[in-house]
Amino acid sequence: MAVNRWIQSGNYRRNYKEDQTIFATFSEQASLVVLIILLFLVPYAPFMSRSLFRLFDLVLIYTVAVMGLNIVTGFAGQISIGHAAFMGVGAYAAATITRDLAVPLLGFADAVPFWYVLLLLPVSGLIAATAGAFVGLPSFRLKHLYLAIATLAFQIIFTWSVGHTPWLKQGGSIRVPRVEFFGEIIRGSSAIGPFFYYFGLVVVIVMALAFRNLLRSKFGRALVAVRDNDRAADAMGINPGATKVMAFAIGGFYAGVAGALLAFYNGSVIVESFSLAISIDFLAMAIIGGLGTLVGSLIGPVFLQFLDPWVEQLADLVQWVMPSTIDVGTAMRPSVFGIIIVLFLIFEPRGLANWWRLLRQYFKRWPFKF
Amino acid sequence: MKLYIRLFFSLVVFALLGLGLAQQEIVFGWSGAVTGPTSDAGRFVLQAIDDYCRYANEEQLIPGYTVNCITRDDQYNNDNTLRNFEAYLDEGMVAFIGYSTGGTLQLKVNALEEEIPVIGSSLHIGVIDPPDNDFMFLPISSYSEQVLALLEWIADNYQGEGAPKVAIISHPSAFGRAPVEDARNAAELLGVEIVEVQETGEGLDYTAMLQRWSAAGVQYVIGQNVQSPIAAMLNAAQALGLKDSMTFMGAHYTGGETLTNLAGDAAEGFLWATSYYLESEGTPGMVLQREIGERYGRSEETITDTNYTTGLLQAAIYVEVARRAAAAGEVSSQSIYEALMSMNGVNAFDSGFGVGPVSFGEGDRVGVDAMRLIQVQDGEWQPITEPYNSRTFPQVHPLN
Amino acid sequence: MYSGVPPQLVVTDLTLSFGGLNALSNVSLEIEPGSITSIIGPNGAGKTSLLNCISGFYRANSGSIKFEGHELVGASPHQISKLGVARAFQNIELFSGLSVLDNLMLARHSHLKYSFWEALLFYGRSQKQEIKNREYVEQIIDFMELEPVRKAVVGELAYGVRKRVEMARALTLGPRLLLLDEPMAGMTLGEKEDIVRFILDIKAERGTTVVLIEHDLGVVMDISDQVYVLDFGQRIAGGPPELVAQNPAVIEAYVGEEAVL
Ligand SMILES: Nc1ncnc2c1ncn2[C@@H]1O[C@H](COP(=O)(O)OP(=O)(O)OP(=O)(O)O)[C@@H](O)[C@H]1O
Ligand SMILES: [Mg+2]
Repeated sequence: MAVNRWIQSGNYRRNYKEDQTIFATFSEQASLVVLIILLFLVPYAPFMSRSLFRLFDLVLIYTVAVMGLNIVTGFAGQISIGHAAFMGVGAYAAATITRDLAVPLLGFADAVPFWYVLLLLPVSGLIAATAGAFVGLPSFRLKHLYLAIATLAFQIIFTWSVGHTPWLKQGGSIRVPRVEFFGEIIRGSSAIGPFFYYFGLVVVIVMALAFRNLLRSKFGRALVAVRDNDRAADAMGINPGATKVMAFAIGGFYAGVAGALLAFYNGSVIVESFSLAISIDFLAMAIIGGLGTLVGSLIGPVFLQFLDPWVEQLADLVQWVMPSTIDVGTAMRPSVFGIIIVLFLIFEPRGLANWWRLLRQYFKRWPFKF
Repeated sequence: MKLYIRLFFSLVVFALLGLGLAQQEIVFGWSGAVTGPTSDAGRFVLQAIDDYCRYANEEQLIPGYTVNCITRDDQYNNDNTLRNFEAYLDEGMVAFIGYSTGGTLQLKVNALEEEIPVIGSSLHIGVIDPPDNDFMFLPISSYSEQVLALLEWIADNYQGEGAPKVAIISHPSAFGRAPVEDARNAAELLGVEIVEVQETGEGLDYTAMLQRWSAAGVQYVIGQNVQSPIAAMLNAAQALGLKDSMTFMGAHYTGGETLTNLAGDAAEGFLWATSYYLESEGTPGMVLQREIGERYGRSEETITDTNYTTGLLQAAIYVEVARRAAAAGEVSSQSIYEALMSMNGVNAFDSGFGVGPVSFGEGDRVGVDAMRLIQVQDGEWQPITEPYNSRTFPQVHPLN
Repeated sequence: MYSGVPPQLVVTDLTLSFGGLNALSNVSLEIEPGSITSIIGPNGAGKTSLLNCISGFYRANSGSIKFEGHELVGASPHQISKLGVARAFQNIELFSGLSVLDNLMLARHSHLKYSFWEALLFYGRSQKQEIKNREYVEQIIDFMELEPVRKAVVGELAYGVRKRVEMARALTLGPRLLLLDEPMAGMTLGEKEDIVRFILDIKAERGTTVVLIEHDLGVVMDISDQVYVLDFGQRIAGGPPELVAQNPAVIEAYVGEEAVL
């Protein structure tokens, strides 16, 4: 390319292979690389504290889960109100496999080696994917809201069954061993924070790449086709029922990986981490981030997780001026979150991802306005 | 150049000053529900922690040190509890006070790794059961022990034929399920029959439940729950005329002023197991409770609430161990832990808030071991036993 | 029927009813490979219903549909599509949020031979397959003269262009039997001529069998090898256009349109 690659404003791709690439211009590729480098440098920032690490780490873990929800809801168009339960399946799979199989059979003591964790993440993902496919099965017959109810039912059954299974400590905390990384046991928040930041970041990048690849393949196109017009999809040789089941399985896989990650991060699994409220938080993250876009799954969790402590402080402030008999604080978080979701649904149904798109376009065309 | 040197030196001086000040400050962290589920109870605990720390500073209970109690809302959300815990670590916390059952259970591994002692408001026996229990403590006897004491009371006072029949109404959570297994084992030892364990939060049809139990011949109902479902059940029982054929009782979080306020007459005869004194008793500890509450302008509702006592006891334990640690040397999480573990025998701490001394040590992670049964008589809570321990609990649930 | 080549599609005694109404009653017909067959009839005659039965969207109450020996009654649309039967809808059923290119790539779904795992890597076979099929799609784009709108979002295109994309997408499936439901409805004369040219080219260059539903009898008589006439769900005539045009039953069904015939 003879022209200056940095200010390239359109795409001049000369063959179909180039046309498959993800990022259109060189400057886009360059800014992505810079962004990733910056993300890897975050732990060295002077402002990083334990609680900030926790916030970042949870954002990364939730991002993996929300990517999965986005495949189900954003791409295949099936609302899932039970996504946290799939995450729970992954977490409990990781916890029980480790406790009942790995520790007695492989003789791990205080910690499990890193390779084992790397192996267990996809295994937990596959178990959650099976659960996802199973819950998605009614999509051969049911549509839209009916299917949403099936996912809600799964959420409720999950919470109830865990609560009544002594093997799962009836929802109380199950201990998960710490991770041993090249001879060093990662324990204590000052080590766990940065370790899971990097681990989570790498998992997010790998999962996002897989996500992106999937979407430009025939499988990704089939998801969108089923969402847009399942009659026409059927005529294209796409089995709509099977495609929805696949979406639920993929969504389950992402949730399961996130759940296993959370289990190792917290060092314990407790049923409250996978409640209906978390499922709804995930939906909020997906909607506010932007359904049907990868960028949306990345922005949504950041936005909501960082909004949370801020709303808390706001509640404190409001409570200060209100008489103490009125419990503003209790109502504040759900109502602020609710209002934000509604505002987004009305004014920006494409979510924050659309703002991101507009911003990108603006810089691409700069210095020209149009 | 000179300017830079001066700047540098003043910075060093400030840093040293800051360090000096920091050494004089002892940071305790509390995280609990000020908003969200159970916040009606959590708010009283929070107020008590704040008040007692202020009181400790004003009275200079720890000579040469000030106590800084950081209290933050976690909305009964475990993630927030963990986040607060880690934030407090950044702020130099030496000991932590927890609240919810889930959050405290999940904190066990963190407490162990950070070597920070944790006292919770949750009396779940799993908090102090191994593994990872090294830094975990309960302020008073566990739900399990309370429920077992109630079962023993049933076995001792039952005069009918055959085995007494008991139903348990438990909260649908780890909190509610905590004592169920121990209760089943103890019931077997005591010759008491547990007919059914019903899990319920809000909104169950209590009439149907009670009629079913009545038909099954249930004579005693033990609650491991919070006050509102218990009050609803008591009202239903009164409406059905079952108050004569069934005796209702419950563990720590079922009782107190909240229950009598919610249930009114229907609470008459309710039997409650707890380790705290009642404000109305006017014991020395309760006089102090009123004094502290009034000093900081708390409402009558706050001052008479058991959850306020809970917070006072938790803060008082930490202030006392910090005082001992300070007297022996420096205050750190390590010295606090050591002071806690040696708080027994002659060193046991009589806080005045609980019905017995606070003691911790090897094999003893429960502060106030003793408890009493308290009954609603003519609308007032009246103790009907002296402080004692459950006799079956050590058999059913041996502690390490 | 006339040349002795075995028919590609055989419909026998097909009956389809909605409640009490028979949309199709005992319809039988045969279609030769490589021919253009038109199905005509007044509004509500059952033409679209017949197509829906063939393509699997409706399940006939009785009768059979054999395509190259495969029974189509009871098969689902995606199975039938994979057998080589493609269909363009009367009311445009495109993926309106996607580009023309993506709409057409979707039609290559069954032709893209790579596994889920290969898709995740998007390297090697999956990439080669995508490129190969993209080339196929580009041929269709050339053929249907859609180059200028290749990357346009379908929902934003004019009606006539969308109809053409609808037809292009069916063609992209690479079918041996192409079902076109009123591809020229609502088009200008110029646009219609284009479509007629495309249909003739499809037959000539690709040897694809075409089944056409069309109201413009002039076009039908011009390009069809065979014409079937439906009225109230019954087949009232069938055969070469010139014979059908003289059939009194047909003339009666089309009273107002004698002039055209
Ligand atoms: N899904 C359905 N449910 C009920 N009735 C239907 C359904 N589909 C078609 N019909 C009825 O079947 C009859 C035939 O309809 P069809 O759409 O096949 O007619 P057509 O010949 O294609 O007409 P047009 O030329 O207007 O497209 C009509 O009376 C129609 O109302
Ligand atoms: Mg029609």
